Amino acid sequence: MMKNAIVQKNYLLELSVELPFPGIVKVNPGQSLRAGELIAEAVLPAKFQVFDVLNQFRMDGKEFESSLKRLAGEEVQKGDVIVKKPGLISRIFRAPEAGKLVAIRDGRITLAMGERTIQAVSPIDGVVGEIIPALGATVVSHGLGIKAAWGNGKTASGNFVMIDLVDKLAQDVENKIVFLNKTATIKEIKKLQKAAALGILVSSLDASRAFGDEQFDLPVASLLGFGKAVLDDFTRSKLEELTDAEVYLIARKADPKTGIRPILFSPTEDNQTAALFSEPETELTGRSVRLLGLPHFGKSGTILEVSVKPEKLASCMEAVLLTIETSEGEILRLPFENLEFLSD
Amino acid sequence: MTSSYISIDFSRRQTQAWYFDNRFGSYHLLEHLTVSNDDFSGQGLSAPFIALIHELELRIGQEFITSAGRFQFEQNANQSGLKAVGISYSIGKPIRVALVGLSEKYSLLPLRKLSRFYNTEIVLEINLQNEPNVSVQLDKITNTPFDLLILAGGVDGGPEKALRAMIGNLRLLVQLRGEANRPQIVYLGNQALADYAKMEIEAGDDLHIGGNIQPDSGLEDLSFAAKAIRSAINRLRLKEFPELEIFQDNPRIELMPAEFGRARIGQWLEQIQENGKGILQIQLEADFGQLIAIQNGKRMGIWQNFEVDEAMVEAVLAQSDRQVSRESVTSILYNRFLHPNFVPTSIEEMSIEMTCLSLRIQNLLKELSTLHPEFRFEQKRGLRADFEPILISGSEFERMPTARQAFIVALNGIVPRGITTIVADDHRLIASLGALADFDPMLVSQIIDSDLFTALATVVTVESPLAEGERVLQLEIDEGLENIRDQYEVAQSELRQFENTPGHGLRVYLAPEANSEIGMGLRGLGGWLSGDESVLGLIVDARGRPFVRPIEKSSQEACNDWIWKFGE
Repeated sequence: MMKNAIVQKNYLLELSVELPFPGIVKVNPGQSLRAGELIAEAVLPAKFQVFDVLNQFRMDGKEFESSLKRLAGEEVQKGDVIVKKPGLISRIFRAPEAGKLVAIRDGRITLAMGERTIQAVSPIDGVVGEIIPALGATVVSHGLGIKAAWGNGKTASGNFVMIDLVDKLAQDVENKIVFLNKTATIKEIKKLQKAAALGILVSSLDASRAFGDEQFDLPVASLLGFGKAVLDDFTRSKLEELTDAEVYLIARKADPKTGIRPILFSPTEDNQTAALFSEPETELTGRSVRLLGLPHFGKSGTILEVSVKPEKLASCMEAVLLTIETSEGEILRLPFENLEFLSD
Repeated sequence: MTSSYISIDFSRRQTQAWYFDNRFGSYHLLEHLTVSNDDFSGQGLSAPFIALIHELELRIGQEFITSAGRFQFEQNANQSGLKAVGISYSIGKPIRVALVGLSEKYSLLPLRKLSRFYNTEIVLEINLQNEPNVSVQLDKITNTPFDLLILAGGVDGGPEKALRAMIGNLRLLVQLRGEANRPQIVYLGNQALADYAKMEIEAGDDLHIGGNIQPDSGLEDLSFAAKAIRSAINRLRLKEFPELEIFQDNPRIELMPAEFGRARIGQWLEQIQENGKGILQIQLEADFGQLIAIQNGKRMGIWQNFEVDEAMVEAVLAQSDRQVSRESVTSILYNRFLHPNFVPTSIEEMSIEMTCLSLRIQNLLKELSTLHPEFRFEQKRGLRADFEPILISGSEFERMPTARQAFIVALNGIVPRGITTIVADDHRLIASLGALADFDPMLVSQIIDSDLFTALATVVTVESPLAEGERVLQLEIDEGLENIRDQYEVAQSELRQFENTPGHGLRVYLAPEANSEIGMGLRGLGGWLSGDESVLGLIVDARGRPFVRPIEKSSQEACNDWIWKFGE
């Protein structure tokens, strides 16, 4: 029944960094990495050329065999003769660029030319936790993690700064990870992007327009998701502590199936490892929670009581209800599923 | 001697087990257990599997697995009791698929139908006629990351050249990717090249040769591909979930995608029923939906992962039965996607939830009819073909607080035609039986015949050109009590419920107006309708196709009346 907390002091960040195609993994388990350091590399041909000799030179299989001047697997230089059809007017197929003759099948010659290197680099400082054979590695790091609800799939690092308004930017946001402490509109995010912010974290995103299709060049994440909401004091105070600190905004796309969520991460030096066994579940009463769903979206509160039996709601749904006292002193009764724990 | 079977289903959020045996003469479901995968977070698939089987052992009083977590019959083939195990799954990332075919109409379109049946994402399509440049083809297949490539084209014994060139390219692709990371390749083309493909591509168990889906000119039969596609998908999932490897290569264990099992049972149901109608199955989970239709022996299906986009927000706003703001719809839909367990607390949230679920069904029907025009679904007029029964299952229906709400979600999503029955698969038996069907057909028929499915309602839809409020249908309902017959009238634009007399099945005479059609074959033609007892009884949907709303009411008021007031 327990859920992971949104703000975790000793959060173990695990990031899988993979090549889209198999290549060579350049790191070892336990190796320390700096952000930007190479993890894996694939060297692929820049382009291929398939030449149908039988058709182009009008020859049969036997003639083809005798006309071949190179073998499969051989390196070729630009201009090298690969096929020469003898005759009164001989016809020649030369390598258009330096490369390798990768296949000779069915009267066709396949040349791989040039090189294209694809690299997978670490987006964070960390340690190699696990090797993903031929593709990359999982990089791990410890620190303060603040989970968000929505991200656009991008990652950046930089110094953290908090602002309340975009209209008159009191602070320099250039090359910073900016937290905009309000329900942000697309226009405001675009303005921050124009001001050269490295990444943007917002309390929530304005829901009057769908954000899903919006393309931004930089990482954008929303702590609460979508709709009008005010961020709780606890999370805000944790964010304030990060002012000027080096942080990573890992605005990966939320995947409810796997529990992956975007995260604002600040590594710590103490290297305290996560416990071998999970902590025993703590009592629900007394825990700080954040409320999901309208009209209390984003508010924080403390659990006072847990109902014994499921109860019926106005929607006719039945759920185990928790009695919550919000930070504003309101007493509410809400389903367990509509709450997120703020801290462990 | 008692024969018993176990079926296990791995889904993203829960793992389930069913135990069937014939100790009472015929097969019965003795246990159905479910565990939440959240309770085994980070422990893979083995932990919930072991927990389920141990619980089953306790309840049945028999040991099924060894301490190493293997089924006992794997060590002792003569062990009595448990005959076989069926494993179905609906887990894993969307499979990235590349489709390569000789033509749009005869190759790529059938391949889209095949691949969209499963949890896939088409990342590359190559039409060999439109892109005859073999170098460009090679560039495309080497520069696109995909997990599964399906190649089809050509009638048996037909032209080979373009296919041969692509097969040559696939050989190179397999070499470039290396044994550990090569994709699964399925060949479904000209059978004259099947052996050549096998020898040339040299991909071992990662190459799957199926029959030609177009064996003769103009003849399309996707069933020839079923075994090869299933084998490729099994292999991909085994790589993704190595815990499943213990279930392969044992003749007494069958492993398959859950959708494959469901379709198998759907086909069997269509074969044995005598009403000439198709079978429709809808499964709705928080993160995906699946629709399977069996029509004239043909299997059609679609899988859609749940995503919120602008179109979904607009559609919910337009179809909701409540006055809701765009902001609250956007906010609730996105937050529902991010927090799948979120419980609607207010009537407005419930309205958005139900509208969203109906829309998800409509989206499934729309995509299926785009791929299979013979399926016949129109956005405004609903289904144009006859299906009975319509089977609904999945956590999204199960979380509805009442059967009435689950039914309304299904009815508004499907917008059925004629006379049909909507049945809830509360025990999610269809996929579990599909995984066991090959072992003992008696098991399937006896379980299907048992009362494990819940008939929600018998639906009669009336289509009529008459104006709103005019009578379109008269009913005479045999209440089953001392030959009492009650007479009713239904007007255009009404949605009416007629409850069963408890303990009695449905027996009703339907008399539509001359120009009204109720699915008896002709306009104005009526007759007796009999059916089993159902939770909601008989529902007459005379809302029209497209819906005719009462003039004095707004679209929202009309929807509200239809949803909340019917049956009062």
